[in-house]
Amino acid sequence: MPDFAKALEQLRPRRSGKRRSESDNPVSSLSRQLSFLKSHLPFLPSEPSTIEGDEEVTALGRHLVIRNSCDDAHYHGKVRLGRFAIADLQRFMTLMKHSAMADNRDSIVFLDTETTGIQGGTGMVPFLVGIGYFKGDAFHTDQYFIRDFDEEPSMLLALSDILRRFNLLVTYNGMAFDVPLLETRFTMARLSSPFTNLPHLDLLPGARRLWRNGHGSCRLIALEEKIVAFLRGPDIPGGMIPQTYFDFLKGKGVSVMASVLKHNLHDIVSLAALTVCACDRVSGIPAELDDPLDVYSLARVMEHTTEWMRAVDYYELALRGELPQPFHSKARENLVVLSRRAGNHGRALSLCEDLMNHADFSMVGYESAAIHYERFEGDAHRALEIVERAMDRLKDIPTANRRWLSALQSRRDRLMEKWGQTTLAPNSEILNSVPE
Amino acid sequence: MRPKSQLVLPDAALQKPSAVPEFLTELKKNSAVSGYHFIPSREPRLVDVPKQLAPALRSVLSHRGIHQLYSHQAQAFALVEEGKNVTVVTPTASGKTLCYNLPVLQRIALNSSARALYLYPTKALTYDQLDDLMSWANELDGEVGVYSFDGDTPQDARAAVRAKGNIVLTNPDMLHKGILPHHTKWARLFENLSYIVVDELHTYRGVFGSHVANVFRRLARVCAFYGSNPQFICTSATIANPKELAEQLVAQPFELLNESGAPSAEKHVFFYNPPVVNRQLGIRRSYVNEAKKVAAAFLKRNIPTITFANSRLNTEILVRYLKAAIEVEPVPQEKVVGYRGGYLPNERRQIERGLREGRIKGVVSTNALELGIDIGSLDVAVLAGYPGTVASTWQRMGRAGRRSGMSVAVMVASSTPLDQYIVNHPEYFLSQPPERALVNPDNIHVLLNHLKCATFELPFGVEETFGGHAMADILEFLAEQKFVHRAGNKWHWTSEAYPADAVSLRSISSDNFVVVERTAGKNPAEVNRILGEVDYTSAFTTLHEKAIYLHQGQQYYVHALDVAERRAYVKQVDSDYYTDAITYTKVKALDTFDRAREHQHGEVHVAHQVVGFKKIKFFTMENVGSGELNLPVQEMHTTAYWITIPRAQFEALPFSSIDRLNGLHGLAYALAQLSAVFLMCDRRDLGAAVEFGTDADVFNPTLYIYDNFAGGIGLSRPLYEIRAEVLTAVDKLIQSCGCDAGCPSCVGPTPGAKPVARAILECVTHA
Repeated sequence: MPDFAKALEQLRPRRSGKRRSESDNPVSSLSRQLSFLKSHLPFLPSEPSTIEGDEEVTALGRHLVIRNSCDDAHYHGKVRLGRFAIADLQRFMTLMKHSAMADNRDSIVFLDTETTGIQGGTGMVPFLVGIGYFKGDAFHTDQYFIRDFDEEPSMLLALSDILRRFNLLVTYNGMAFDVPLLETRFTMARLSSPFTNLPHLDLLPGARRLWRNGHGSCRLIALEEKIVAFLRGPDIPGGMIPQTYFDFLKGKGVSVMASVLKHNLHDIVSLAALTVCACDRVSGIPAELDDPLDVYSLARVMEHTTEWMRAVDYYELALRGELPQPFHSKARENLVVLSRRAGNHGRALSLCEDLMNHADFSMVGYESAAIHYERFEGDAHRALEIVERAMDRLKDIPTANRRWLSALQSRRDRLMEKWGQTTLAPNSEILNSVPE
Repeated sequence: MRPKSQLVLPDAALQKPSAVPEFLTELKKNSAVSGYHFIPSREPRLVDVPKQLAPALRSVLSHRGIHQLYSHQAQAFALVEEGKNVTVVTPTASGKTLCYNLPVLQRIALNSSARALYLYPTKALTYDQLDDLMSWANELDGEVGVYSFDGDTPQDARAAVRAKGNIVLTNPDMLHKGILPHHTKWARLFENLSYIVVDELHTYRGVFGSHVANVFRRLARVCAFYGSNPQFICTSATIANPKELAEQLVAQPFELLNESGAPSAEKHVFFYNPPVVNRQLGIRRSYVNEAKKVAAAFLKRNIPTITFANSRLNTEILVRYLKAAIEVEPVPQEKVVGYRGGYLPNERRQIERGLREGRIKGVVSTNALELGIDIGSLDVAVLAGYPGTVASTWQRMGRAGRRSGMSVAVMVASSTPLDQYIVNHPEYFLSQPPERALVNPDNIHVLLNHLKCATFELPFGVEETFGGHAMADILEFLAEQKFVHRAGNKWHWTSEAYPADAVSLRSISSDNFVVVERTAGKNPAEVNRILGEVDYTSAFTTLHEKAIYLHQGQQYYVHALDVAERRAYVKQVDSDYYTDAITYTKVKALDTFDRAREHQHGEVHVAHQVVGFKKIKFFTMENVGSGELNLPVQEMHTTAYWITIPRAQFEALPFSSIDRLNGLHGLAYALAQLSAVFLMCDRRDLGAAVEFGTDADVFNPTLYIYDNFAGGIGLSRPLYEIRAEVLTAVDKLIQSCGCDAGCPSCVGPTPGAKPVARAILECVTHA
């Protein structure tokens, strides 16, 4: 048996009387930051001594549930949660090409998790899982909280029971974070995962498509402010949450823990409110949007759906506004393709001309113009001319995409061959009609 | 003076492979050859393919022309079928992989959900085996999923490996960092894990082995969680204690299989001692130059030759020399290449392919090619310097003649005492059992780190043991450090850190330096080209400012070493010298475990610093300059054996104080060398240092031989116990050496140290 006791003693920091100064102790500096934070949370009630909630008992032990609700008339930012309509969500999900569907809004569950880290792996514990759902006119939140690690199995059991009542899960970045994390925890607790047959809408990718252009960050907290217009006031930074829980386990900082609960509560309600905004955005009237970039983003969502015809109008609308570059060119390029698809060749060609005359090289502009002359006006010579003009311009652009040149080259070769044929055999239509 | 060696045959003999027998006859007559040993070829022992083998496997075997098995392959199959853990120890090219592939594929054939985990010590070996195993899987109608999993596996491919991999090939580092901490994602694998294959078991020794033993402790916990109890199949090169090593690493009983039924080609082993050029100073011709001559003689005859060097530097020097000697046509073709750690993976794959296809005739390697990477058939192995251990010497010699009917191995001795002892007593070497592989899984530094990882992976029960030891005290300690927290009857991980990231299995620190070549150019991507990587400890000796860094025989001048960023900036140069770092080591005793008069063993603090460098001219080895350096000190706690020489007696010796210091250094030099022989460990596992007794806290001159790994791997206690034997041998070595006042073969290159070293030895009681 090795002498671990002795070896350990040598590893312990020497207690040589000299106390380490406050400043080089990260934990103490963190607690100083926390006390600063506390002093700036005026609306918090006086120092609570414990986390208030309902203690739930399950076959695997006990845990805490903190329940809240708000009625139909409650506004979160500018959003009245009560007007959340299932039809709007269905439309949003169809446009986002999401196959899952929920038939009534009471069967939707919103979920957000607070954990002991973001490092990944089996050592990361969700100590707080908040869910939100509609029941009748009210919006309810249940926050499942463990007061110590041994309460986790009980909390997971209760969570899996309640999740099985719903038909659609809505999260923000849950695809990458919350769901895999919770699945790991269910495995660790030897419980079957409630997520296996639960359709999941991760709002993050859709939110990015709608709001990334012109709004910068798409973090929930950023969109909550910009889109939902909710100002949550002093909030605990996400990076401090794990340490707050570790302190709480040591019986310290109950009030800071309470602010983590509040943070999680805001996240759930904001997620529901942002879902309402996302639905509004795709079903509302684009002309009412203030920023042409938003119209542009919407057009980009629409153009790949069955409602692509509306994208034509949205792009036109966006172009009439003051779209900044590179969105302006991009909008014109996409509109060229859509106009051609809609059979509006005149509009397509005029957009191509704008693009070709623009200072920035537009591959789509030249290619589409070449296609237009070749296919719709039967003028291979004109098409060839355009391709050669494009190749000339490309030579002076050192940063150009290499594939562009080779694509243009093969188009030129094909056109030259075709042109040769047409000049040699003007009756090409007859030749083409000969059955093979 | 002895005659010069004559290695060059008449020109007509050049380029003709048939000249080998005549060339060997010439070589035997050469006066520099101090020993010759002939190992006759051996007939195979074949047995029938086991009756219970699945028909699909039987047909793949016969499709490959295998109608019978070597006896050891059939024995391995039978033992595994009985449910035993097996360690197979047979020579290179004896069909070891079939020993584990056959039982594993058999199990999968019977149960398609069965899983196996294959562990290889290096990525290169993994890829080598992956190709082979994939072709088996294809011949079995593609029903068997075979995947490699390591840092290079793309993120989007990982899910497929986890879902479909019947056999997953990986390395212990990836198991430690990528698999165990994410075991829930691998639930399918762990629930159905039937076999764990550990190839090249003998590499799991020292610090690496101690870490891996702890990774296996963690693996056992995770398997128990998923209710599986996998069997282990290990293969190893010849070492003294394969069964003991396997049992120490895995903590389960093993069956040993060490009788090979494979045939082997005849082998000619030569011991070559470079001629003495100055008897008084005991100076011999450079063994690197002599090794070059021997290798070049074979290569000029177009005989595929592998040359092993003991350091990266010598590898590069030999590549340069051999390229100059062989690649001489008007348009030189690349025939000789270097191969060592630090080359980028693609470069290594190309070299392996070149060797297999025969485009490359000669390769110079560090121990990187000692393991079973398939490089095709090489006929000759030249060892530039004794590799340091018997096991490693046989392993390197075994790389020649995998498939041909005859092979040659030449061991060229350097002038160190160890090499000289071996080359002058070949019979001692030939009768010597190979070394024991030592591990110390209970090294507190190592264990502590893996206990953190284990708690991260699965909460640690208060009654649970780790490696058979109660962990209560250690977990309390980790709780004090706020890494863990007790809830109910379990300890839980309470830190935002990912503990496996802080532990590298290969060393105590996990940092690597990147070597960046800077060239003049406009495009930023071309200005900085990454040349290779160097581990933290080697970086200070090879990449210090003004060093000449050698890569594929090319020289690069290091113009900056950014320690904080772990980068070295180099530019290509054409210099006629290389650099050799000067290091300074200071040892301080912290605690004595045992003491007998002047002899002690206990815990020490070692500070190691690169303080300068010498410039040494290629070919002539002249010292053409030097420089000072100011680099960070590398520190560690380890265990040591030390001798204190009573100060009064030391000062009474009839020599000047400079001579006395030289004598002390000389004695340390000889003692370290012979300690390695008697402990049967690698010379590099031991460090040596002297303390002259000028510091206030060290009164008596002291001589330390320390365990060269933080925390120690258990070498200093045995050394303390056998000190009498070692000191007697040191005395004898110094006495019997032919030089006048000291030479590299006894007390080192310091002139005049010999009589002082003997006098110091007399001050010390040998018991």
